[in-house]
Amino acid sequence: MNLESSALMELIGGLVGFFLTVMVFSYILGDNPFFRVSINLFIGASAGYALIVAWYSVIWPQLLSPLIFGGQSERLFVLFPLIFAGLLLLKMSSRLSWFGSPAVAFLVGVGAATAVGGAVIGTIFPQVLAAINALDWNPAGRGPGEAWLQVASGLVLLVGTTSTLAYFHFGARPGLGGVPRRSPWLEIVAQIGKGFIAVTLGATFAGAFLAAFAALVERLEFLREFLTPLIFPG
Amino acid sequence: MSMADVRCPLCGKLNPAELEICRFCQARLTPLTGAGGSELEDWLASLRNVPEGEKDQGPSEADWWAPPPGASAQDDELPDWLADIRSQAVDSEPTKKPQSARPDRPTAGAPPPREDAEPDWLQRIRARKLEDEGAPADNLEALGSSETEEPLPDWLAGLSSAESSIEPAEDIPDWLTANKPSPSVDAAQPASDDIPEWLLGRQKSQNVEGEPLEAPEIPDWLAGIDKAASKLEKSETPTQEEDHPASSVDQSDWHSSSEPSLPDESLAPPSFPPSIFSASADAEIPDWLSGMAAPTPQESAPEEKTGQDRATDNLFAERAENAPVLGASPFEGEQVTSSTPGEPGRVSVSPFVEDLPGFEDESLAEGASSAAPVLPEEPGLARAELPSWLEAMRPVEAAAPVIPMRSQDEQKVISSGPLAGLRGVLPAEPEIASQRAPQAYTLKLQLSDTQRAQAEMLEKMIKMEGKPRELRESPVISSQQLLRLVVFLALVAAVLSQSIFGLVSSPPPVLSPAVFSARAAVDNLPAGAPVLVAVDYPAGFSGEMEAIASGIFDHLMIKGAYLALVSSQPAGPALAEHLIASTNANGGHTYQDMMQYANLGYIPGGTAGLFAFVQSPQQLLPDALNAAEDADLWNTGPLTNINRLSDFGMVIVITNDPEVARAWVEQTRRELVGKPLLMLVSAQAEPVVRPYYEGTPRLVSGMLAGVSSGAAYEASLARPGLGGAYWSISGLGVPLAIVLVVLLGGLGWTIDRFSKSNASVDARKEASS
Repeated sequence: MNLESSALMELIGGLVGFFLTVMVFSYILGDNPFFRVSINLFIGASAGYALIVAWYSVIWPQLLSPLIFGGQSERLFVLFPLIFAGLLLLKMSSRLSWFGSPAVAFLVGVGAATAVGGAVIGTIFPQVLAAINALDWNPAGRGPGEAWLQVASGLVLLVGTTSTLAYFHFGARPGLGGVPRRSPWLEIVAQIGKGFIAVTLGATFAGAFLAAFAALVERLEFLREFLTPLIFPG
Repeated sequence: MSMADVRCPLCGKLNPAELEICRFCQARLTPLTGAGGSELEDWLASLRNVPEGEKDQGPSEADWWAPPPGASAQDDELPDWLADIRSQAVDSEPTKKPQSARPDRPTAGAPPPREDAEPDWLQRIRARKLEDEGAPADNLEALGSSETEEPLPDWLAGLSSAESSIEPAEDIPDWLTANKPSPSVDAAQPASDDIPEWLLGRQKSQNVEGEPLEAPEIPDWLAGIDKAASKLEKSETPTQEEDHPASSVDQSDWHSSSEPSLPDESLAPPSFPPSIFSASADAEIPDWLSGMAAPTPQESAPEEKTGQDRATDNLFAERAENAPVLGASPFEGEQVTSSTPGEPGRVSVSPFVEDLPGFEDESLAEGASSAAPVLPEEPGLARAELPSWLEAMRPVEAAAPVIPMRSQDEQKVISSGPLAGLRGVLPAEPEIASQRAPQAYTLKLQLSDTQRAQAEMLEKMIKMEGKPRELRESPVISSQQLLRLVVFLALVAAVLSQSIFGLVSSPPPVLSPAVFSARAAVDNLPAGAPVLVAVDYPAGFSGEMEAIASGIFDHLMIKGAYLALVSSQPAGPALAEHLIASTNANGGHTYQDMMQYANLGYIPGGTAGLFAFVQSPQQLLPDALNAAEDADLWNTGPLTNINRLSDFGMVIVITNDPEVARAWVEQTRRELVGKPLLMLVSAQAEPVVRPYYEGTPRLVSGMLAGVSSGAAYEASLARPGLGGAYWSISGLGVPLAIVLVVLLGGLGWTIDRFSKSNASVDARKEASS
């Protein structure tokens, strides 16, 4: 590939990117065919690329290549996933879909076991331990001034955790007029938890907005960089 | 048989005269009279008030009809009809022939007929038959002695005379022979030629004792009666006998019902009081019966019945009334009915009709009136007056519903079932059930006001569903679209103005502890150490993620780290290539050779695949996308000694999904002992990932969240990059966006509250109005 062809390819790629970006921006005026075309192109390209990746990363190197060129042990090793893959394909038929149930059960079982094991060891226990350690008066490596700040942070964390859990406690007893109501103290704690939840959702929304704004900036920078040489060749 | 013997009226056997009860059948031999005579009505008592001397001698028939001596004082109290009957009986006594208009039954108290009262023709027949058939001498003697012996009790004498007068005839019609009652006489075997078949059959079944049965010739009058009866029967029910054999069954029923009225005396010529015949419906009387009933003074033999006879006659009349088809019988001679259903009319020609109780009389009279014109009452014949006690016993006819019988022509023929083809089958349910009118039920639904209101509401909703709604004309651009366009243009203007003109100079963000830790981790990374980089974000987040990762990638390339790129998403390998290319372009690096980085590709299987990769990276991803086909990635090059995940010098996860970040933390938690794990996450995933960094123990060594963190990292390196550029461009747009969010959010809240208040005011107005 010479320089001219490289520049041409870059120009074509830039034009495609420019038009696709404008077509996506057209959604600001409402749903329109340009937006739909761009979305469909994106979904199709992603699916095609995923298929190519699956072929070159999984199917050929890990299934077919050992089955064709591998030894006896490799063939026996890939025979089990090959059978399960064939059973999964039977899921497309309504009459024979039950043949794929064992493969699905195997995948779900293994996935659930892996996720639960990882969650218990990697998230639940460490998070509980972190919540406990947040109220440590004498943490290692911290001075007296930082200890009060740590304890205050730990208290906020404790209140936030308990109040949030209280908010999701929906047990209630029938009150006046038969309307179920939670106990007053639980209602107060739940309202505090509601505040923590609102702050958390606000932070998440802010992060989503910043992520989207970064994408907008990236696209506008692309457009500017693409159009500037065209508009101002000099 | 001696003269002192008495023949049992029931079994016909001889008993000593002194016995009152038959020694064989325990039937009473002597009648019970006078027991309650004092309690009877006067008219009935007068009938029984016979002098003792006459009782012993056996009163003649004329005497029996005659008023008793000493009863003249009571004549005024007797009904006129009875008085007339008595007078006629007395007048006709010298010349009348003893005929029995209807069969007598062995009833107690009945006056026994004297032997001299027996008609001459019957005596001649008996004598001739006995002589012709050679009857045993003892039988003849017995027969003669029975005629000359001492008078028996009235009832028994009558029975004996009746028994001895049995003369079966050869010319008896079939309908009569088939149902001929069995004579209760002791008769010897008669001549088989003269005995009809029905009598032979009866004789075989009887206990024959003593007297042979005579087979006398039927006298002319009886033959005429039989012929006339046959004609009458055929004329009355011609179709029933010809078409339907079942009618004969009915006829047999009639005979069976009238069987008590056909004893042995049935062959005796009847004697009808002329006044009674004249008082009956002559118009309906057939000729034969008219001839028979027209009595001469010698023929008429008025007969007065006792109370028991009347009761028997009542029973007979009831059976005859219920009989569907009644033929004209010379032995009964009183009923001619039509078989038309629903019209049980009958013409009473019986001389005993007026002897019946009142209800019988009326019912018969009604039937006669419906079937025949009412004849004028004969002058001089007084209407019978019933006693009060008998009048009170009259049943109420309305209480006994009579179901009219249908003729077979009207009866339906069964068309289906096992009885198909049969006619006259009894209905499956009683006739009265089918005649009952069906009960009427109201169809009006009982609804409460609430239910009615709900029903109306439902009806209204259903009607509204059928009506097309008016479509509001949408404007070319709505206020919401206008607001969205304004916000977009404002942000674009802010970004472009800042990008082009650099209106606002935004200072670099403060280096946070998380970024500082990440920077320290990279600084502590040995030169040329393999670093595993997980590019797990979609293409839509590439702008943010590349801005975050550009600084640390630049730092890693400066350090000369070997980058092993993997992804748990299909598009990850391509984005990884773009990230390397972008970093090369921005940092001036030349990471292109497989000896500098390896794109290991896609990790299939989600969490399970990640777990497998953590356990054995070589087995799961044996090849690299950017390597040659024959290249031995894991045996030649920087990845030679990499067998486990902990063999990498550092693991960096670049993702926008907090779940992916959590999965990497959870699955690499046990393998990455003492090796740094850096998280480069989107700003939206920071709240979830940060606890892994803030917690104790710290599961994440350093973290870069959002463009600000990337800019801070680049600022710490003092190198330009995408993070710093985007942060600078965002310097005007982010504050503007915050202002827009606050203003527009407040405006929207205010508008919403205002609209709600207006809606509540309108609702109140509607409620008040």
